[in-house]
Amino acid sequence: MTTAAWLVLAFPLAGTVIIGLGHRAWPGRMAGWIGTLAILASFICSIVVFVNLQDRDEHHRQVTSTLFDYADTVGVDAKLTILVDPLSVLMMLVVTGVSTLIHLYSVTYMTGDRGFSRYFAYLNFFVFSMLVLVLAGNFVPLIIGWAFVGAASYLLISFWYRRRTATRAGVKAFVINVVGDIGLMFGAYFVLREFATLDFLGVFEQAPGTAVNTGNLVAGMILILVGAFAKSAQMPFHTWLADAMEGPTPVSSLIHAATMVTAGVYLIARLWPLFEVTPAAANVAAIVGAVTLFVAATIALTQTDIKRVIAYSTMSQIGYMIMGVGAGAYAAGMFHFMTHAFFKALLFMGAGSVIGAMAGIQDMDRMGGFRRAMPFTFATMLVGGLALSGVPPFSGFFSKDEILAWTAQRGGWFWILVVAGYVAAFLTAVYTFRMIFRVFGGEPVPEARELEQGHLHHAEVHVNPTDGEVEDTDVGFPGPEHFVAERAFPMKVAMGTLALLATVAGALQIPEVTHAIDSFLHPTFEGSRYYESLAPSESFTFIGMAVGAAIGLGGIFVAWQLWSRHRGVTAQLITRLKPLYALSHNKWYFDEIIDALFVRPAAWFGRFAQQTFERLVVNGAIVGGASLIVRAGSAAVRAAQSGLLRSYAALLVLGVGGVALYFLLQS
Amino acid sequence: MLRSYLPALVFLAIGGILALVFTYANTLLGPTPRKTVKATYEPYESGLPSEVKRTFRFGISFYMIAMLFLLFDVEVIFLFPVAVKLREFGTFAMYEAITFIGLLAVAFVYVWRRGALSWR
Amino acid sequence: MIAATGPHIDVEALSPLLALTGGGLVVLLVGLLRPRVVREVLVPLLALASLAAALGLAIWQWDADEEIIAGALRVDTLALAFTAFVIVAAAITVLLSWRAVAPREAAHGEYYAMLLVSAAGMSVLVQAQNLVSLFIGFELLSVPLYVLCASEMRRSSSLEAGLKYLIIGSVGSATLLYGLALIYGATGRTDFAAIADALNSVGGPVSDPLFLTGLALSVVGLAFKVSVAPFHQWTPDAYEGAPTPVTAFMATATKVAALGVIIRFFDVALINAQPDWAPALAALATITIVVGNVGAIGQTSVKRLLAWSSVAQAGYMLAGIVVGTQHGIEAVAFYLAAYLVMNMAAFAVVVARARETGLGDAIEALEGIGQSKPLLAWPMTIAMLGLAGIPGTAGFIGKFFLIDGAVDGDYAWLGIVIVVGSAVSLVYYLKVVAAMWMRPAPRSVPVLAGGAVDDPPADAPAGPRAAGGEVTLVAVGCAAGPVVFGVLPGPLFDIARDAAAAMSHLF
Repeated sequence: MTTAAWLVLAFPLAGTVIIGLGHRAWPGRMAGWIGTLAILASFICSIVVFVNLQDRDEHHRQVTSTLFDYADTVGVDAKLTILVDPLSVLMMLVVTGVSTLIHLYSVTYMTGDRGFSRYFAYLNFFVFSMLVLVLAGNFVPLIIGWAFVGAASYLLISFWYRRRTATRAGVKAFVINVVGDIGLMFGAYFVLREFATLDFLGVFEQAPGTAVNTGNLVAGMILILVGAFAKSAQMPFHTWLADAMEGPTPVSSLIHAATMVTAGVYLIARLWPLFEVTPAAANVAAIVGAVTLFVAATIALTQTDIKRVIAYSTMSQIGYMIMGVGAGAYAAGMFHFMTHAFFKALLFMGAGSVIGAMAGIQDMDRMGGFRRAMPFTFATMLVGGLALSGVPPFSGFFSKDEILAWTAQRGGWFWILVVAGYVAAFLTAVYTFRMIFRVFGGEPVPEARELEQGHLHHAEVHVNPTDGEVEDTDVGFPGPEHFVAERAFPMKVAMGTLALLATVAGALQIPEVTHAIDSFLHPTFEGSRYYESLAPSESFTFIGMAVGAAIGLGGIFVAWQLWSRHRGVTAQLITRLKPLYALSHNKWYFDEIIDALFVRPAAWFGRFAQQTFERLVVNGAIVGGASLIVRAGSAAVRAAQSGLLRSYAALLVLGVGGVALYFLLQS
Repeated sequence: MLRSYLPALVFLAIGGILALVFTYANTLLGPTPRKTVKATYEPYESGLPSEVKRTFRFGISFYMIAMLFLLFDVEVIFLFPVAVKLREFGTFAMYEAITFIGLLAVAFVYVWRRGALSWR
Repeated sequence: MIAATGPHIDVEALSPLLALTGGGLVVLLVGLLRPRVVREVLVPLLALASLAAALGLAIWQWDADEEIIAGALRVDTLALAFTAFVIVAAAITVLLSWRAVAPREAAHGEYYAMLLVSAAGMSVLVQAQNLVSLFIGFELLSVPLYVLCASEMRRSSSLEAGLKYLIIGSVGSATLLYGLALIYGATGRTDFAAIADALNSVGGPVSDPLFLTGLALSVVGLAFKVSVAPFHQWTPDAYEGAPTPVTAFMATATKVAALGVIIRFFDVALINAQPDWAPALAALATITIVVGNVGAIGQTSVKRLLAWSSVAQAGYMLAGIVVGTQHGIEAVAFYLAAYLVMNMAAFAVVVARARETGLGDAIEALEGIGQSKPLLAWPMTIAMLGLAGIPGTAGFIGKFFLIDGAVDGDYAWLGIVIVVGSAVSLVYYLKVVAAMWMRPAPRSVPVLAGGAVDDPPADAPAGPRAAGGEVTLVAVGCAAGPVVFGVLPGPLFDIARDAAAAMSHLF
């Protein structure tokens, strides 16, 4: 069974190597098919692992396997261990499954791009890294996988490397992710100091025995949370995610919606025994999740770039998951992770299809009336939108509702978080259907008309959707061709499958009816303080569901009123609520705040140091304290190094005298 | 304890006295010319000046051979205790001595083949 | 009275040492033979063979833990591990010397015999558990090295290096000898274990000025050999002047041997005086780290830069000894192995470039080789990054364990000094890397086209010629070490753990 688990890792790696080695040689779409097959094989192995795991006794569903001991000495047990348990298997299934579909989608979507093979090599590498992260049974492979997915994300955001906006976004994402990596690394060090082991199971075994909220461990867990927040785009480390939309749309779908950004959720769920002995840190997670889900939902309301709307929605939905796992609703968080992977990947794919129809344009102001031109895209996006808005019986309804219901059971101030969650749920429905009404409703734009007449619009001049710069279509820029789901079978298969899953996945965990996720994950969370005790009462559940459904439908109704029935109203609203609109439209000025708080002072200081300080203070003598000392020391040492034996002898006598004096004086 | 060093001290004294005696015996016992002119110390009519100056150069071979002689000479001293106490030490000492002599032989062969013994 | 029987000689345990000395003798004699092929091919091959034999015997003896020759030497895993490191360094030196100028000028037999005898001295040194055998090993190590330094007889800087090394080294030896004599005077013993007992006894000589002076002088004497500041000053001059293969040998093997004996001397004989010497060694380590790193900045000769870097690295490793724990020794053993291969890779590249360009060991000789000579540029890059302690290399793991060891032994501030020192060291290590990858090759470098057109005479002391495949092999092979052990440090950890296990009386 562990062999199958290792194979899950091996296939994407092999795919990367094979595609990468032959990236010049692969003809046509060959590289894409190789990549897709590699991930499909990985998915099949995941299923094998899943079946094997279910065959086991409930108490023996945590299996580890060590490939080799990286360093097993003096209190550091850095091993390449994988941990196969229900939690990691759930992640594995979703990651490989969704990845397969997105690879399939990409085979068409990226056709014509001059970096086709490179794209699939990167994408396979990403899946490999993500699986390393997921399967890690030790902090060391976790950190490795964590860093690798960051690198893969950087490579794919900057995939169109001749676009300045794309490379800049890649750098931004990378920098913020590295901050997170460092947090995770230091956090792991704290854990090592506390438990003298890096092995997950070893740590988990000792965790319940430690005192609650010991200072060191709380500090360590908060550092780990920094890693989780950076990767999952939670406040205040969220600014990179919207910019990450510079990457190809399937990348946004896979990495920046379905899988990588949920790594933080997985991490908190994985380390639940530690978070349960450090409730302070867990509360930080819950609060940050709640704040993020609210803020991101408000920002999504006013964005006009279709991908950015979905990106902020992703942030918001991950906020729900983080809040859930932070509050102890582990199964609910993981359930939402799964349904979210389905419907959000689907929404991105739909967006990709729309962007294809618009020949690369992403601005919703220029879209409209695609309903008839793209019936399949419309239908699937509608399914995704309904699931996202939390409308029964779509999957998102059950998972989101479960998070809120369970979190509410914590009582006290957790109610504030829950209320924020419900408000944001309303906003979610509004922005989701704002997007759908604006793209598919109203009068068809010229591109939609062209498509209705059976001709896919092609841009005369290719421009960067972010800053409008004119581009060519050579390597390093998007290719000349565009695709819509209606005309590409692989895209259709991928989106259709996901639409189906987004519709029915909720059935896994219908309150009071099914408990598939709950009972499947049970072995992982055995012994948790919250896992079972948080279950809400029957009446509470149904009230929650009713409220959730009402809020979702209400939001859709408002969106319909504003963007479908009374199309002009929004402009009036914008003028009436100008400050609020500006706040939301400018993303709560987060970029500006970070710019003002960190980037600007650093840059100012740099300028000051470079222009004023360096010029005025010495023009060459001081370049900064440390370097002065080093330079002066260097000069002194070299001056002493005269090459003359007599001066050496003198220093030697001094040295002998000094050492002897020390020994004699201290006796 | 210190008494055991007495023979060595005596030996040292005798050596020192002997050296002094040899150095000054000639001056003390030899005939002293009544009248000395500069020419007395010069070689008869031709030849090298007999006085050795500070800057006089010996052939390097002289040093080489002197040093090698010293080395081997001193090393042979190590064989003496073995020779004296061979019975007590038994075969172990014999093997030791053979090894030692073997090493000396290697050194000798080396010195020889390198040409340090040939006067150039 | 004189004992009736001689000491028992355990030939098996002594065998690595016998292989080295025997090899030295054979090489010396074979070197006397006339045919050129014998001298230039057979002699180095014989040297390699005897080193291989010694290495094999050392591995064969791996589990030994015994005193030999009436307690003069101790054969245990620590000694064997360090002996093995020395042998590896010597073997690599033989490869680097294959086509070097030095053996041709000093005669092949003598050159390689000297190398083997020096290695034997190092082996004695790391096995010594007696003041007398310590000193014998010390001299057996040093004297051949003085000569080897000066073996490029037609280059005045080589002679100068030899002379300087001789004089300063003799001062070091004298200081050490004086210190050892005083320790003997204070404790009345030469045996390490007996000294430890004497120090442990009530009213023992721990605070006796006689003993403390002896301790101070032996610290200084040993510090010379490891080039610990402020006793490092011979290092840059001697390293720069000596023939590069000899420099490589001095920078690696000498350090192994000297640190080995420091471990045994301080952590066995003087362990009960640890509160006395540990702060002093810690202070010396700090000074060394500062001086070494600071001195390396601004150097334009790669050999000189590596010399200063080796001073700094000695400081790092001293930190592992200061704490007097098994953990610390483990870290030192691990780091020494990593340090050995990284330095050898760097020196191999220096040798190759000096031969190819005729620019000597200047940094300019490395410029632009990223494009033209990747097989040399990569090893140098890996060596530099490893010495700087970049994650993913064995240098990082070694440094991590040294710091960890220091922190564990309540010398956290020393760990911080190591970190700061490493940060500073990036300045000069990256300068070398930048020169290789970011600068264009200088115009003046004569490019070799197979040496067909104007082949320089074979014994031309300088001037471009082919580097030789064995040098590239050494560079690539040694550079693989830090990477392999950076990814799979397990085997090296086992060796280090075994070595430290010999010091079972420590924590």
